[in-house]
Amino acid sequence: MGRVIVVTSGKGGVGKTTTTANVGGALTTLGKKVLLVDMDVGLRNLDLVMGLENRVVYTFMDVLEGRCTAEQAMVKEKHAGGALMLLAASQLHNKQDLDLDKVKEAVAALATGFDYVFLDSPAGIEHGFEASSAPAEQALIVVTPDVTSVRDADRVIGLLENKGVRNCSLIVNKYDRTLIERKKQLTSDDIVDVLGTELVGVVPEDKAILDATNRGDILVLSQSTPAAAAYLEIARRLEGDETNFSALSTGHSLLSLFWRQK
Amino acid sequence: MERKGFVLKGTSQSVEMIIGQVTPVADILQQLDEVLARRGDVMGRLPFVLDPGDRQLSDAELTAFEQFFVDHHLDYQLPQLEPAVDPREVLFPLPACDPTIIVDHTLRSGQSVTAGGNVLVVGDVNEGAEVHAAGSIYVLGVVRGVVSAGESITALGFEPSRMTVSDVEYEGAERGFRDARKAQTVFVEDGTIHIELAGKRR
Repeated sequence: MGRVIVVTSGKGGVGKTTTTANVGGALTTLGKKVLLVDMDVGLRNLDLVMGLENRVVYTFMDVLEGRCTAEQAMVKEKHAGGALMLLAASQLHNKQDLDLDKVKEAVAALATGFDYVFLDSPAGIEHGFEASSAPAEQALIVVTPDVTSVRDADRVIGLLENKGVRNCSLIVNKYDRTLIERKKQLTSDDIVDVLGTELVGVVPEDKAILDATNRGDILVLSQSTPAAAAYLEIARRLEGDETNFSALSTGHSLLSLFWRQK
Repeated sequence: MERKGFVLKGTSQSVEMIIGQVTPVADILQQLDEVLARRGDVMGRLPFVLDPGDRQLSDAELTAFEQFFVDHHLDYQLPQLEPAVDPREVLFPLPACDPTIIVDHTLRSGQSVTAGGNVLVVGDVNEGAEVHAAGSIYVLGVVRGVVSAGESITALGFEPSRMTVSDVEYEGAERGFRDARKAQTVFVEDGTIHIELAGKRR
């Protein structure tokens, strides 16, 4: 039985979908079998981020409503050799069409065939978020270092706690060291101080992410950049390794100098 | 020594029977028996309402009255027994207020607690969360949200977005708190807000 993890944030545009794709991809490099489910019914994106938009025939909604089997609906990621699968969201439905009981049942059945199932939640705290968090045992909360994102994350953690999802972990995304040094951005310590939640990853701002997304490649499976390293650290932490946060280390290692030149 | 153990007051609906403070119940009942023998034809149709005044009647005495009225085929109404008083409550009375509500987690944005008494939060009160208490608020963490208390607010850290004590609004929330990360108590004296290190107040 695999771990079912919801990736959520409350606020939109913080990088939930990119995080889902890359953390999932990073886990496959550790030999794990991973399923990514796009729960953003009506505004699907995960297929684009993974470059699979032309291969989607059936969606998760088709599985829920019995028009196909889960095996028929799952799409294989190109580089991971079958270890990373996608269940896309329907564009033809809206979030109200998700039946919570059916979602829970379907996700529980899917989890038997994988080590990890990630549910990529839509922004907001309405029905789409409810449907994404209902089957989850753990949550990855994605925040960017700004006060709006932190407040929304706080609200979402409260809602998850009310639903019984007590295992919440924090990923700080778009972390910009130069802005932090100029004291223009919240530090990860500030964020952890407010949210009181375990930190599992700090992903630096990295232009390579946008580039990879636009090409339809998962960064962590195609390039070695500081952000890719951060996603690999998150995967290792989920697997129980206490690794350092490379994005927070102050020293300029040879490797980081190399990255800067690229 | 009371000459007669009771006084009878007739009204249109009942006969009120006010008993003396010391006359033994057996004597009262005997005197009542005599009265009824003389005037029972008039009074016997109305219910007897027993009024003991300040006198505490025992269960046995009340039963004796009840038995008497039943034997004489009279309607009657006995005084309600006061619930037994725990002597400890007389010696150490508890203050008359609602119990303290304990919140065992951080209050997050969108969560709120309102209480008629005190509130103890084991955790922070985050921005967007609210705590309102008629008594005092104690926060084992940092206050960042909206808090209002009737008496005082004690916390390990203060960065409130709005704070009111005894209907006096704290004006400095915009500027930030001095010593924002010290355990302090906020209270009102002479209509103005005072902030002191927790435990130093008086």
